[in-house]
Amino acid sequence: MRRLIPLAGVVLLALACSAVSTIGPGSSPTATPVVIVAAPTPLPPEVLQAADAEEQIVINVYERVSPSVVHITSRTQVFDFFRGPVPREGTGSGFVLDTQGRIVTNYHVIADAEEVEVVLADGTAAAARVIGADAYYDLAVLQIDVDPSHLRPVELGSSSDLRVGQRVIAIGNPFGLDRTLTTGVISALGRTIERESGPALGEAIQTDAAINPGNSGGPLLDSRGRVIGINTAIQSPTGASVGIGFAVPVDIIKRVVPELIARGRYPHPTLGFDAYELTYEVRPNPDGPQKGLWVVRVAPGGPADRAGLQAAALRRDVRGRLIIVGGDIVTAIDGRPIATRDDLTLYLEAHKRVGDQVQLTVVRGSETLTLTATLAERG
Amino acid sequence: MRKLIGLLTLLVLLGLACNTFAPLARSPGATSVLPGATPGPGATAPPGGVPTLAPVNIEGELDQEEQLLISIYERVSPAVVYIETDLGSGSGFVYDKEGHIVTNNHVIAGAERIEVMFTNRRRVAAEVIGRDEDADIAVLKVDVPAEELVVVELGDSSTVRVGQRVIAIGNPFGLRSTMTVGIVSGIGRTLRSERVVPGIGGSFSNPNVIQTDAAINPGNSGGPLLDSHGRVIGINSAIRSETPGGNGQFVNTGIGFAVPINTVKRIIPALIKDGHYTYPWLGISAADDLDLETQRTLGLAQATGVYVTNVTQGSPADKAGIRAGTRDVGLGNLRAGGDLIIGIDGREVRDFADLISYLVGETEVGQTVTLKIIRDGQTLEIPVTLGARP
Repeated sequence: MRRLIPLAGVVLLALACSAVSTIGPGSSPTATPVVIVAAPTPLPPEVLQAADAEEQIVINVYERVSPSVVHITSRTQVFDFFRGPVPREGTGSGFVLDTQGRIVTNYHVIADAEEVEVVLADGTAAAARVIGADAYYDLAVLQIDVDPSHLRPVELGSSSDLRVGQRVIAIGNPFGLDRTLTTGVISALGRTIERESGPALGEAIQTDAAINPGNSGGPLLDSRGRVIGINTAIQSPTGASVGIGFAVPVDIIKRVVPELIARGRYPHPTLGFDAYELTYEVRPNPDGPQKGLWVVRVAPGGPADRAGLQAAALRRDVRGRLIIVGGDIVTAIDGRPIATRDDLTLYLEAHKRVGDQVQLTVVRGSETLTLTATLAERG
Repeated sequence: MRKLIGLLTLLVLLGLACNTFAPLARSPGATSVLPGATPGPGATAPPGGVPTLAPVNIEGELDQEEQLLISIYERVSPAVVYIETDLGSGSGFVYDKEGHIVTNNHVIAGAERIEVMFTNRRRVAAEVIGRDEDADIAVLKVDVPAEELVVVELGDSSTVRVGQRVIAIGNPFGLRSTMTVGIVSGIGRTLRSERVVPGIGGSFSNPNVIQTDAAINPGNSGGPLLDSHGRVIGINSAIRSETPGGNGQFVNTGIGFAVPINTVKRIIPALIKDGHYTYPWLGISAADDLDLETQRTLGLAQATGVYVTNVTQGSPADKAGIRAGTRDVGLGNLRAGGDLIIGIDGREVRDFADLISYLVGETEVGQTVTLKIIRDGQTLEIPVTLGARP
């Protein structure tokens, strides 16, 4: 998940290849006709006003919100065999949450950092302390101690009523370019961000606004300048924007950040079991369910254990090979079919909190059971 | 399925571009979490006073535009389909209530299994009923009840203007029903077909292609490019890109190309009826956009026009007596003494795009056109009866 994308250099545009020909004997060319292009008629005033209005709104949002966007530098020491400890720096974006000096950014901007520095839009630089972080939602809250007069908190919007086609504005520090404004539209909603390690993250907003390395942690705004998400990931084989960016929606920020401030961490709900995902090759019973989670371990005393979920056992067959015997297959949660571990995680994270109850549909042998489990906090 | 044998000599000498057009077939792309970037310049001076909210009437204007885009997405995205084959995936759109789906030929070329998935998650097998490699268009047929099909509205690509807003809906990298927005960046572009002309070599050109800066990526192929009324004005087909990713995939650089809908409208009925479309054919290779030195070397009266470099034996142009250059003047394939085409049926021909645009858009096989040419300093009018493109 923290795969580093090589820094983009300046790309020199290739010259178009054109053959240079030697000067040959000329002929007497006739006059090339002169093309007279008619000037278009002036635009009606209402069209110009609408165009001006559109510019004004983007300018206004930028001028109002960019003072809330901060530049974050994280430093770590990497040990080099010959040179000893070598400092390494990364930069990202973040935004001012409140006048108490809390800054919201992505977890991956500050992960493993030994030192974090925040530079505000007015140039004020301050050392920051990480007061809470969550790798799953890729969110972190930093604390800086500066005079409240330097702090301009953002306005948090809502992400439940977003619609594809709506205009969005990103402000951040792509490639270290402070407070860069990029605009676009919402391209899709409810996307799942697949990560190289760790479970997938759901409910993401997809945008065609240019999002690049360094934009991480910066706000995605609606046309009123309200935060609707935090720019977190891009889809790109090159490592730079191809017009597909993803933001974690603000409703998640509003749910997770208060926990990070109060407890330093977010309590993720868990059922307390490990499972294989059923595939054509991995199936205990060819006539049984084709999709589901095959329970192979149940945490003793955990929610699944207390609900009566049964794990498979490892045995040796007559030839001494290890085989898996028995074990429940979870096929649905609260009536929704599940095929992968990500399906389960996405459902629990989006709809459930620690202490909530869920109904598991379980296939045990030839029977189908419904078990009720009370979610615990993931350790 | 025909197999391409690699491009040999080019039937149409066009702009001699060095870039590759990457067909937008999809392979799995990586989602990257954004790391920090280069250490940037220090914080800039604090901005002045924080402005207040924009006046309500200004926000009202923007809302209209947002409402427009939102309503286009809601109206048109159910007509856009996800096409999956054993070779990759792409996009397409519902053409009519009979279940005809239009996509790019390169999305389905060579595929043995083609499945079409609708936004309501219905997945059905599709059959190819017509293909046109030169315009990169294919028509598929699916068996879906008419009441479930949302049909696109087709626009008019002849009235498209640079600067107008466009909307692309498709499945870049398999991300279903993605909407991206931009403007028309250029019109009248020409894309060369990947098909090698049998028996002759080279390839034909596809005229009136629309260039856009809306983000178009692998997987967008075959999806519609819409105007601000939600009408289809083109099919997103190619991108210009010099930055392949780690997996060799070409991605958006802000230069995408769409096959104009007027070409599609001309071809689709034939594809549905006969499985193929027969283009009118002249039978020449040509050079255009000549620089002034080349013009002088070739002894041409003017630099604009289409300079005939080769006439296919037995072709309509050959029968009409059109001449290619034969005298070597040290410019390789560009030999002196050929005809310079400057008009067709009373229309000015300034470059190859003008000629091919008229031939593809306005003429039919068997029709006689009048070419206005300059030969040895004389302006002549020569009738040519168009044949069928091989």
